Amino acid sequence: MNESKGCNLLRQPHTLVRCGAMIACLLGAMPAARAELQIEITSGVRDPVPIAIVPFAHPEGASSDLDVADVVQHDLEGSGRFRALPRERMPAQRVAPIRSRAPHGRPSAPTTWWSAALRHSITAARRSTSSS
Amino acid sequence: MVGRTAALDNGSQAVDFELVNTLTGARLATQRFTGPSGAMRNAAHRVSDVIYQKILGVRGAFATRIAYVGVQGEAPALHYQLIVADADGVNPHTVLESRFPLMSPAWSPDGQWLAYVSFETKHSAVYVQLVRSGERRQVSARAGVNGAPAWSPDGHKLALTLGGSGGNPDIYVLDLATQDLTRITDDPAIDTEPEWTPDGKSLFFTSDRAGSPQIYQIGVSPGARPKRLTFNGNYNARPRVSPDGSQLAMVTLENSNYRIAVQDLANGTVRVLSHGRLDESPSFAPNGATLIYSEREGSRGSLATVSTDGLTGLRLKASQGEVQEPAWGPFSP
Repeated sequence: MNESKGCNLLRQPHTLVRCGAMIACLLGAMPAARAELQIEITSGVRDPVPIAIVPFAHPEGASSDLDVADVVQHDLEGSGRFRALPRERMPAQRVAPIRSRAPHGRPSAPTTWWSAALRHSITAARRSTSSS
Repeated sequence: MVGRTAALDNGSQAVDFELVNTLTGARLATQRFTGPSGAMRNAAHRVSDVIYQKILGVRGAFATRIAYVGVQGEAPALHYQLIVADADGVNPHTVLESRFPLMSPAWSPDGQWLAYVSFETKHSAVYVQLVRSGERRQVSARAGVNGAPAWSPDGHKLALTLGGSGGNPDIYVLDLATQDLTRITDDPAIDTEPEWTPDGKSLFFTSDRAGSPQIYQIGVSPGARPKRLTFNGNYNARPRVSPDGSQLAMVTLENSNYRIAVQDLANGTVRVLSHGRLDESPSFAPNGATLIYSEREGSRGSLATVSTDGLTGLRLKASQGEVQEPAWGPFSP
């Protein structure tokens, strides 16, 4: 049969396994359940770049169900090349509701709104890097 | 890094962020990403991409997608799924389900389509499918083997492994618009697993014409002759080229273990990157910095990544069933 030809294509052990499965699966099916993937970091560089990721400010009306800083932290740490400073040492940002008047441009207000958070995180980062 | 999210007057959402060097105070990036609220996770990945680039000098590939095959159930009742997820494994969407094997997913260069092999007709056939809508079409169901689709860099052609019934597998190029089929290799050995060079002028492929599987390169012009590229050991297969064309990833046999290796195409240097027992199906991230591949941990298949310098790695384990044959999609515009 055609499949047996395909099974020999690569001469790798798994293709033989797959071949058995292929023939077997003609017989029936199971209801599907989707597999979620879970990440586990297996290796990283010895001297990752320390980075302070301050939790994002979520002014009223913004979609606050997604924790942007958390996604960024997982991305960067997962790359094995960054070390995020402990989140509990990051300042919480308290921001008054913001109405943007420039939907497609740069933030309408100068970026001074986060200067306090920035000052805190710089201090935290310096403390952390000098103590490690 | 500091940032905020904001609701815009037009109903969409914004993510503003600023990246500052804490030693010098220098602003490395100030940027805004906007989109519907459902795209905020993607916006967050784009923030990661920028930070990665500003600090490491290489564009991040966090805001990209991967495709892979999920296998659920126990033999003899296996169930196959073609799944597309964010590069971090979040947001998995099943784009096709089948009681019959699904194999070899391959992204079109624009990230809109997947080509794959399905045995749903009880014989192998190659399909192309629009990821967004699920609309698909069968492009090759010739007698014998129809396998290993690879999109040309211009997205107009597929390289395929075809072998007529009683014939033996060779490499062909199928023009998707005209259906014209061009034979590239003609050898009594098994030729399979084609992969285009980034310039679209030649193909890498695996062949056992020298007695063991090795990787060759051949021009797609008529009368071209293949050139052997791999000479280390007696098993080198499944070539995948880095986006800049400088490195070739492959599966190599090292001390009875199948492992992912990269070969420098300029000087031939080979480095083995993975440490598993049965590592297969390497696929480059579009930034060329990382490879995703499948591995077998115990009896279960999972996915793993390794950086091309071999220093960093991740495992992506399925919560249930097995996952295999990952393909890393292109950068989105």
